[in-house]
Amino acid sequence: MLGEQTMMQGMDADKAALLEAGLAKIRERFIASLEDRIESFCTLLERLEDPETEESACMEIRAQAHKLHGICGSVGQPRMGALAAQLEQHIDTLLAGERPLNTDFVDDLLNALLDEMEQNVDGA
Amino acid sequence: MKILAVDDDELIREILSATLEAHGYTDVTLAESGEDALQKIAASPTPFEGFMFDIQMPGMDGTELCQHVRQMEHYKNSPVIMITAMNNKEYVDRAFMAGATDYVTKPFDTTELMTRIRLADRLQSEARKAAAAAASAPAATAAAPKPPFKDPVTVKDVRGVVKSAALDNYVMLMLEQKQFAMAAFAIRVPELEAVHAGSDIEEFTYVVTDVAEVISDCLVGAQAFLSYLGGGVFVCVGAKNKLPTADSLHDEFVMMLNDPDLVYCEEVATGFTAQIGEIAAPKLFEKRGDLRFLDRAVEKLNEVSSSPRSGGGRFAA
Repeated sequence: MLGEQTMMQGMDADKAALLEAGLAKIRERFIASLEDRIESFCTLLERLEDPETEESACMEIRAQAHKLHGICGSVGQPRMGALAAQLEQHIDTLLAGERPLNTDFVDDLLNALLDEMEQNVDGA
Repeated sequence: MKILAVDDDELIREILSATLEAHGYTDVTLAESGEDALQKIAASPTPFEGFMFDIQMPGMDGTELCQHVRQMEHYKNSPVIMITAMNNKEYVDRAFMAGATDYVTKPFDTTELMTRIRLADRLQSEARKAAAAAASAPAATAAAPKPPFKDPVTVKDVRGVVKSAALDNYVMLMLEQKQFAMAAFAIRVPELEAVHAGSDIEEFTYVVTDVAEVISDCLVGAQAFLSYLGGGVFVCVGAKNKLPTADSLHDEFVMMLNDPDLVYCEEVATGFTAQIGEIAAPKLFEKRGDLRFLDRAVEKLNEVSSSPRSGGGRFAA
């Protein structure tokens, strides 16, 4: 994680402390952003139930999971990042395959990710 | 170094900015999209000296942005570090083909991130010093001798052809992500030495570019990248199971080399031959990121060469 490694870079203590303070604020803002992200995923879960919108929902879920995967490791959320990455990869495989889509596992993975996100909101 | 960092995620932009600033890179401009980046490049009173582009963004993605930047005269050789959270080879291939010179992966590892930035900074500083020296001594530059044959020349606008440093970075990324079994082989066109001796550097670069294009055409479907190392030697890297063997490639390659519509050499009348080395692959005990198999590819080429090696090695430059 970024904060844990900063002292290894040979920065002076003041700059390291400044960076750590900046990253702590970013981590707080990330946790604060989770409720909006959860709400957005829940809307997409509903669209996933409709065959008319399931493919576009999958693409949007994938895009959001990709962003989450990119940020989680840098804000101290490796488990959430791993779940997001798994979801992203599964959707890539699914979309490259046959139609009609079977989105059952997308549903399962997204619910696991949502559980993890909600735990972090509750714990904040 | 004046840096433009582009990512559609606000928190990632802030992490980049905070980390770069803490390490002394205080001149950092942030952009939220490819379109925003192009506007900021156009509006900047002084040029940027390095770029960081997220590969996957809505609208114009990082690869397309890289293509746009590379078309700008001032930024043809600027360091472009791609930011990627993905292990999709197609995206990474496209980014390097578009002119990316390096990459960092999300989530960021500070050590890796700063190593990449410092490397880009060093390259940029060296380029700046060289440009300043050339500008301050125009007469000397005009009279400067032609670069020696063993030095690489820059091949532009050929599919899959990248500079040697970018090829190394690409291979490291592929090995790190364990995308597929990689391998490499090298090709020498000995007559390029005579072309070099008998023509100016511009003409020689044209011929090298034509040869690179023929190699690229021969490797279509092999997901391969190649680089001109100097000394008439090219190294090609790709999926082990898709690279052609020396025997299967040789005849077609030589035939194409001698097609004047494909390789046009005005100054020096010559027929072309080719020496093609056997394929070299990473060994089981070699760690990820170990690039020695690229050197072995050149060694295997030297084994088949009848003439003394003239390339000066993979790192001749």
